[in-house]
Amino acid sequence: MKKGVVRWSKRLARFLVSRVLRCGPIPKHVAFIMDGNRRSGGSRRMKRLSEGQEGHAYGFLQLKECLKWCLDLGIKVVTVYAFSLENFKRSAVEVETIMKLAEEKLNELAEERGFLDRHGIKVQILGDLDVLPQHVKAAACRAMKVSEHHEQAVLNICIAYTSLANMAEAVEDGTLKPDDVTDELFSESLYTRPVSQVDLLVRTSGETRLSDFLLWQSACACVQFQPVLWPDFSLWHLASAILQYQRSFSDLQ
Amino acid sequence: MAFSQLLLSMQKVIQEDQNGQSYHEVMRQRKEAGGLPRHIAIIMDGNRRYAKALGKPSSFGHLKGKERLEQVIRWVLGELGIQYLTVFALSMENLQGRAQWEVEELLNLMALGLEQISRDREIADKKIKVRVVGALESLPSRLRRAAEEAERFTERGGEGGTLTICIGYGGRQELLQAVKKLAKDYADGSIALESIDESSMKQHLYTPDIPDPDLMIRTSGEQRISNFMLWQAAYSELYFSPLPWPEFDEWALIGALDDYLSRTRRFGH
Repeated sequence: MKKGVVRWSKRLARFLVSRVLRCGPIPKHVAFIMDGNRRSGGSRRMKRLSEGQEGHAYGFLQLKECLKWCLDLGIKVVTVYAFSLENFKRSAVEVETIMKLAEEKLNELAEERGFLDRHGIKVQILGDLDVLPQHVKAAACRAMKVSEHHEQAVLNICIAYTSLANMAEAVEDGTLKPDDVTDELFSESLYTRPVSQVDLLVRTSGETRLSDFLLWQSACACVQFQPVLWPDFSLWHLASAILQYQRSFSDLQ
Repeated sequence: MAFSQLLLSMQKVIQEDQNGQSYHEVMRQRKEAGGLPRHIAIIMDGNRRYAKALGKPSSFGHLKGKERLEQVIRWVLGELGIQYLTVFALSMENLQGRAQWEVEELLNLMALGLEQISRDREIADKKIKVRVVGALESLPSRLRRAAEEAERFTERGGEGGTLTICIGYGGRQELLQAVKKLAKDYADGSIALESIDESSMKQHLYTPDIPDPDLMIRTSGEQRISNFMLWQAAYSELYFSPLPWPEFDEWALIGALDDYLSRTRRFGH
């Protein structure tokens, strides 16, 4: 009974927060640098959700929660930085753990389609997929195929990605005439097409840098650095980031 | 803004009392301890806000901003011995978007500053090199001439530091002009498709010989990059100061450096 009341009141709080925030401008495209999984090893809240899992696994559960909040708020495109090309230089054990987790979770997304179908989420995996292990690449393609006809919202997961590499590749791919090169054409050549602008960029864990993520697209984004670790990122943190975005909205125009 | 000013002036008093030292001493200590950034980039925002808070016209704010810049150049390149300083003086968006009279005033002020550089013996003695980057062709002729003169006057410098001033600059525009150059090279046959990579992009940016900024400071509380050095800022530590630029004094600079020194840079690893 008590658990039911708590759950109900949390749902009410989420509803009220989202109604209040929706009175102001809502960013169309929000990007997250989900930093702090390694330092966390799991918070108390996450432990309640799933016993015995490590920092990165918490991070994934947290991502699903965060995505639900974003959809409630009417955010159309969410891009997350899951794994950078530079992260491959980490220890082999860690890279392998992350790859296994990625494969597992992508398969999960592709198989239990309820979540994606209910919210009309199109999943796009952005990055140099050819450097990923075969199984991960296959899981990624499956997740994308299963949701490619959805149109209500987009979830971009950046794996084996760096902004600089994407931009260099965009140049290489296009056999362009110099006069054809424009802002719009370049934006169209990046992974995040057709969306070219990030409205709000949130990085957790207190580090204040972009780490080679969506550099072109974040040219005019409102950047919020929050000291909380990713597995502890709550709706209140997201709400505070959106409030900051709303505060600076008139200046951005 | 008044509250943050109060807070920061209290901090300043405490710092001076605790150490009993002048900022010269503190800067000398930071320099000797090492670990300082090799390249600092600054988005000098807040001149107009500063002037408005004092009930003065924005040209007053820009004038104070210019004075502050002169001081910061001395502190960064001189006292702290940091090799590279890049400042965002005027963006492409500002050039096109703001009122004509205000932009003209600002450009005249910049032209004046650059002309002063060409006559400043101190800059020559200290071997400071000055570069001006941005869409120079869309700037008025006085400013363009002053920029060329300042670059020529200081071209043999560099040992005492390099100051890069971005006027009429846009990060996306810089990237696009690099892409156009690469497209042209490809069309001419002077570059193969496979050799187009991150370093070839970097080579075609405005200042390929200057390393990427380690620390990027933006004043006046706004938390965004505003199309400044997008490529080069990939791994820069970002620092946002609530102070408007004319109030970004020696202690604020030391505060930014201390914050930088406390960070662990991982570059993705």
